[in-house]
Amino acid sequence: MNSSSSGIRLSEFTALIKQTLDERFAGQTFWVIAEISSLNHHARSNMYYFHLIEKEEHSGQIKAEISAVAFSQLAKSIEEFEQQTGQQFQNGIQVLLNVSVSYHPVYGLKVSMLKIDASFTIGQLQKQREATLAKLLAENPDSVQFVNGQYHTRNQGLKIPLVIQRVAVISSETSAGLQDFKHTLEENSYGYKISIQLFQTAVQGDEQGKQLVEKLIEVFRAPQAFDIVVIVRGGGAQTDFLMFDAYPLARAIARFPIPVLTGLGHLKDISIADLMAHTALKTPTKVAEFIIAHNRQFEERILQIRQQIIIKTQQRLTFEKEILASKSNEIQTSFRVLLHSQSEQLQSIKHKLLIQSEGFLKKNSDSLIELSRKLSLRPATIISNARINFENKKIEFEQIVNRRIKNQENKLQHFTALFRALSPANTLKRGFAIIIKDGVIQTDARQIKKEDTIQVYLGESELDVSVIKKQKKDGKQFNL
Amino acid sequence: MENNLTYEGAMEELKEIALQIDNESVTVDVLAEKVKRASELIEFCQSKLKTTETEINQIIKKMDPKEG
Repeated sequence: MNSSSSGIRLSEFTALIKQTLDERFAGQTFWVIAEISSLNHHARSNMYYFHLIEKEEHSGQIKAEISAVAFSQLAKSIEEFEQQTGQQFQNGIQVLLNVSVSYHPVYGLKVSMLKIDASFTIGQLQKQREATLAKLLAENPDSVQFVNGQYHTRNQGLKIPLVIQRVAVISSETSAGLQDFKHTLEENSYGYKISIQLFQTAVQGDEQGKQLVEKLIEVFRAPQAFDIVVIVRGGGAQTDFLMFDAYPLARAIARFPIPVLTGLGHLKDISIADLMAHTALKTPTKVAEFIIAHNRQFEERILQIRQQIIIKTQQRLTFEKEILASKSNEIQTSFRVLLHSQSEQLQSIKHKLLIQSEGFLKKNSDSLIELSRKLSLRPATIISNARINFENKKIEFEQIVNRRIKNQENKLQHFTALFRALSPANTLKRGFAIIIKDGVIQTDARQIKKEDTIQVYLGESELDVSVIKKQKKDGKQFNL
Repeated sequence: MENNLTYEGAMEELKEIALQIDNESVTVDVLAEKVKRASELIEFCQSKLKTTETEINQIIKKMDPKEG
């Protein structure tokens, strides 16, 4: 080695690297497990430039990365890989590649792809798919269940309206599948009108189905109501189905509140989106046919009801007519019988009436004469009776009045006598005296004491008296 | 025909009418009315099946004097 100060040319240095690498790696190949990243297909040269990366399992941080190239002679292998896996050779897929190491002084370190192992990727996809399904079950127990070997989703529990007329379609506008779908709907032989609103997506580059999820949200938020949502796939290449196995889309479909119908074309396997959808059909055309058949079923049902109503109504009318005819007959017959018997009765009544009325008239004419005779006497008797009655009442009244007067006179005399007897003058005459002390009439001897001077009125004289003695008497000798 | 009649509503009513006629729970007087109604409902459904929603809305608009 020369001293560090003099240095070597870069080309010498890179030549040294190349030589070292060649010594170690020349003629050797390695099977490497990696993920494709930063893929760039150079169409003119038909070469693929990409990176191989490895990520930390949990953080997703890149822990190894190297540039890779697949030369044009490998284009056929890649095509075969895509057919076998049903998976596009694209970013994000896990691959097992046979590579050799090369170094170029200008382009640097690169690995060249020599072979690709499709079965590894198939296995990876299968594992991924199983993981996605397990995650769907684990994280959405209310909307995804696995019962008796079948997936059941909330979307599958929805009822498709009796008639499908408002359809939201999620697809890329250019897709052949969409054209098939539209054509089949528009050209239906029954003339059913179905309005389609397209929610457009890009065909490629949507590994996680994120765009599809966004479109579903758009459908959900649209101001108009839809009977169903249809997801149809582009058709053509069989390599863009990874998105239909992606967790976010599968989850969105399983939980979507409008029935989702899929027509994803002839895929290698049934996709997870298909498993979650309300109804999964093979192709867009089949979805369109399903819609027409669904509507036809409704029309047939109402036509069947119409037929049933017509038959039943006819039967009923015939039956009612027969009843009417027989009733009419019955009525006519019984009416004739009734008429006859009534007319006979009438005759007999008429006869009886004639006889009876003659007798009745005679009898009544007699009593009428008698009555008129009685009536002519009646007024005089009434007046005479009234007059006598009046006289009697008058006498009776006078008697009552006189008796009352006499009665009152007697009472008056009695009271006069009584008052006279009770007057003080008369009382004095009967031997009573009035005793006065100090100008006051005394009625109680308790006020009078021995040697008091009192006045005594007796008859027409006034006596001044001194009390000599006061003695108690019971006074009972004057009781009446 | 009423504006807010749906296929579901029409189907329910048709089934009901068919049932009533079938078990003879309607009098002959009402029968004619029921058959007429059924025929209207069927006609409504059939024409609705073959008309786009926009067209239907236009028809309804024409039929409703308030909006005319």
